Amino acid sequence: MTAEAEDVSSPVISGRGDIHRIGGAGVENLRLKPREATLDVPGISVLKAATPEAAASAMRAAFPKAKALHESAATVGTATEEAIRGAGFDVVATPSDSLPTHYRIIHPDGVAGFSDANLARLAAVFHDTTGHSP
Amino acid sequence: MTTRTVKLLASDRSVLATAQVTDEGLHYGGTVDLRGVPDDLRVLFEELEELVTGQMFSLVDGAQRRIAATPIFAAFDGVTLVPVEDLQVFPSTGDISFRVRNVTAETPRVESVLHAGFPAESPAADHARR
Repeated sequence: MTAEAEDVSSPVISGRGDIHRIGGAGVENLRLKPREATLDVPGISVLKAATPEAAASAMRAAFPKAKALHESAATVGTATEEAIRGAGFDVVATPSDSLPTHYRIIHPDGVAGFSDANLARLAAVFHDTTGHSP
Repeated sequence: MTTRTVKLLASDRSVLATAQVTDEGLHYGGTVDLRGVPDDLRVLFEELEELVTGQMFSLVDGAQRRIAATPIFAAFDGVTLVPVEDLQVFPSTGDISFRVRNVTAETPRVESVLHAGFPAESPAADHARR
């Protein structure tokens, strides 16, 4: 499988706020999907925002009719960058056209780093909040 | 908000789909009938839905560029032909959203191929200028 072209050349984190994962931080929701494993730097999508609600709002603005995703956004998992790094992962800025505050959680070991044991450590540094419906 | 009918047309002016949408501020949103959509375009919409719903946002830009590679125009109530941007279609639910590009004097019109006799200036053109 060919890796999809991308630019994650800058590891510099900019902006303010915590890191948020739509749908909460259960291990299954942090697991790398097959297509994400094909990225040059495999990782899962997160948003950086001041609050979980702000992250959910940014997602809804980018994808206004993605109803299933909107439902998932009722729950948001939140962690600091430092805590994510403390769990053995890293966070890199990967702004997209529709989500300028898009970041990616990656692991130094690539796909292999997204093992169940490592994901459990990652999940433990997040805390979920609910009620982020529009 | 008023629901309006919009026809989505290919560059050859064939009708790809008909949607019922409302002006939701930054975009138009509503539901769409995809029965006339060519298979290759439908596959792109399905891919976009999979990526968005699965939070694979790193891959969404690529999918949206592939969709945008097919020029699609909106004809509101049968008048002004407006280029569509940021077209997002979710086939499993029939939901659609899009924005319209600024209308200029060079923007083609489709009165002759759709319902002639509507006012020259459509609300879509007004929306695009805002």
